Amino acid sequence: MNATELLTSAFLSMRAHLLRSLLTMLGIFIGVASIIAIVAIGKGGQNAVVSTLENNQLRQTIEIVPRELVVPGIPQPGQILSFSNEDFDIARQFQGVLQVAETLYGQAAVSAGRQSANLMLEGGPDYLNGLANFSVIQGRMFTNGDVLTHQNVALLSQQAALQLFGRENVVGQSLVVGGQTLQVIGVTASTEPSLLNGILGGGAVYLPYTTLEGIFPNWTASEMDIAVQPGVSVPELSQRIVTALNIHAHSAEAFETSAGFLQGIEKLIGTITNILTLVIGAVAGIALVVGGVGVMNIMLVSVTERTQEIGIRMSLGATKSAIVWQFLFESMMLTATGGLLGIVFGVLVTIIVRAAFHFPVAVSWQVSIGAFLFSALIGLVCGLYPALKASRLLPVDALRYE
Amino acid sequence: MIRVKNLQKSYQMGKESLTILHQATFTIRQGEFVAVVGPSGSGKSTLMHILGCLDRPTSGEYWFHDQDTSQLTGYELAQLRNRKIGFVFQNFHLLPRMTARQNVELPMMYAGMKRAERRKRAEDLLETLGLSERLHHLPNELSGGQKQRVAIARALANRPELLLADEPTGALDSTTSHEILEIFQELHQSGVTLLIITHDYRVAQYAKRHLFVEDGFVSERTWEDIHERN
Ligand SMILES: Nc1ncnc2c1ncn2[C@@H]1O[C@H](COP(=O)(O)OP(=O)(O)O)[C@@H](O)[C@H]1O
Ligand SMILES: [Mg+2]
Repeated sequence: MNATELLTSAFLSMRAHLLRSLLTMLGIFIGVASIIAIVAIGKGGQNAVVSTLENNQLRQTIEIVPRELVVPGIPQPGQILSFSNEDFDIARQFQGVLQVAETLYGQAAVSAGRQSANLMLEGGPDYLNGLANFSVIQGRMFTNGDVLTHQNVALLSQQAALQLFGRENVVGQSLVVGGQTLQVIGVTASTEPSLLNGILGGGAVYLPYTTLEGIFPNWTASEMDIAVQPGVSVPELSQRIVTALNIHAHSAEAFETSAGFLQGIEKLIGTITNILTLVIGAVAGIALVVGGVGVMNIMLVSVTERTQEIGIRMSLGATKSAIVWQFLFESMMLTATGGLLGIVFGVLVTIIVRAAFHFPVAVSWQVSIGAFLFSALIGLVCGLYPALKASRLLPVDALRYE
Repeated sequence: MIRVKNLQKSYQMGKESLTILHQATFTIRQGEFVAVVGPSGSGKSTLMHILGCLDRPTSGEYWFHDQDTSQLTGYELAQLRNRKIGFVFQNFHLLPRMTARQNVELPMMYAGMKRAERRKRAEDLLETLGLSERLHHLPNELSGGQKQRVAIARALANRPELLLADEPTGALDSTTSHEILEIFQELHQSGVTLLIITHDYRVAQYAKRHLFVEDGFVSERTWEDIHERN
């Protein structure tokens, strides 16, 4: 018998006991589905960070943040939390630096007409980092001119526009922040579902940092934004600037590039994913083991039920190995089908997670293929004993079995 | 073609050894039509299982052509059953989830024959046996006589030299039995070596030669002898 014949015969025998086969697959199904989902979610989170990092490199910008923001905790006495004017001057002196600006973040009450909401405010230069993965869908971004002349303009994220106005086309409307009236010149939307955009870009208002400084004079710069000349190596220059700032601050750990900050997040996501993977992996592992044992059990039942069939096949000339392969294919068919259904379900779960939580997911086809092959392997391993048992029957005993 | 000498089969039942077949010695030549006759429980099936290489004797010799079957491996015995021997059983022993044609294809599948070729042969065989309308029927959609004809087609699939039939009409009514026996008659005329097991003397009369089994002892008898005893 060749592989096609074995597959057909295995399929027919699976179909003959459909309910029993489906129940037997359950363990493998659950195990594979959880593996597919957890890997997709973990990988999606990491991809989001990596793509943000790459984006910054492409845009020839450097962001530097106080290290306290990178490693949140109780600030040490004398810990530096923001930038001084001298820090900006130091950065400006470097060859290859085009412009040095700052970004301020904070929460404040924003009102428009009768509506008001507590929103995130981000003041920055026209090459605002927080907008890396956003696009202006209506109106325009503020310009360097707007920044230099302290224009009272602002962009709203889609969510913020909905919160304040109940609609998205709000260009030309005005809103009030800290007693200052701002004109809405644009609306932004996320260009991709990204974890970081989810964290940073919920309901947000973006405006020139000069304007924001004017409204909240006591807010300190929590990020230094440096535009770099084309052709200059961003990682190298940022390293040199960070070193210079740290020497000025008399601390080796005062400042850090936000690439480092993002890498910190990446690490954190990695840790969370690892814990999740461990927990869900253990669940999946148990499901797979239980599933495998279930398959072995059902195959033993099947061999006993079909003792006479085995005898008939032997009388027709089936060799031991033909019998072994017949039952191996049946158990592999069971587990591989369970695995396949598990992959489909796992992918479905990731699609739901993406839609419901705007969480980036990335289904790994390598893991999918691996999971499929592994589930077939479970069938091979767990089917081996029943198959050998079937092949060791004496033809006459099998035939006479009632 | 078949030579057995002092063939013995015993089972160990607890401490006692139970001998089912005693020192059987006989030969069967190519093309013979032999009936193995004897009462139920006398050891006929046991003998057939040994002749069909489904079972090994406890002692004694069994030669198939000039091959000592005790020297053959499990694999070689499977090959022998596949290529040289065809079986017909009392309860048909068709695989229930396979159609008539698929059942007939099975031995050819184990012989490694190509799909189109074996399909063609299965259809030809079933047609010869008057089942061209029943190719795609499952066994439970067939009558007893039809099932037995499918089983005969399956036994003939690889053109065996020896056809062993264990009570082939045991589950059939007398008209159907007669039809099946006519088929065996024709097979005999076409040169197949036939060995039919039966406890029914009306069936035995179709054969040209008779082996009588009683309490595990096999002896050669003339038809008249058997007939008179009945
Ligand atoms: N596996 C076995 N163990 C013990 N006794 C057996 C076994 N198989 C068959 N027998 C005995 O062998 C005897 C002959 O059986 P069998 O060859 O089937 O008879 P027949 O076909 O002539 O009716 C019976 O008494 C039966 O009980
Ligand atoms: Mg019998």
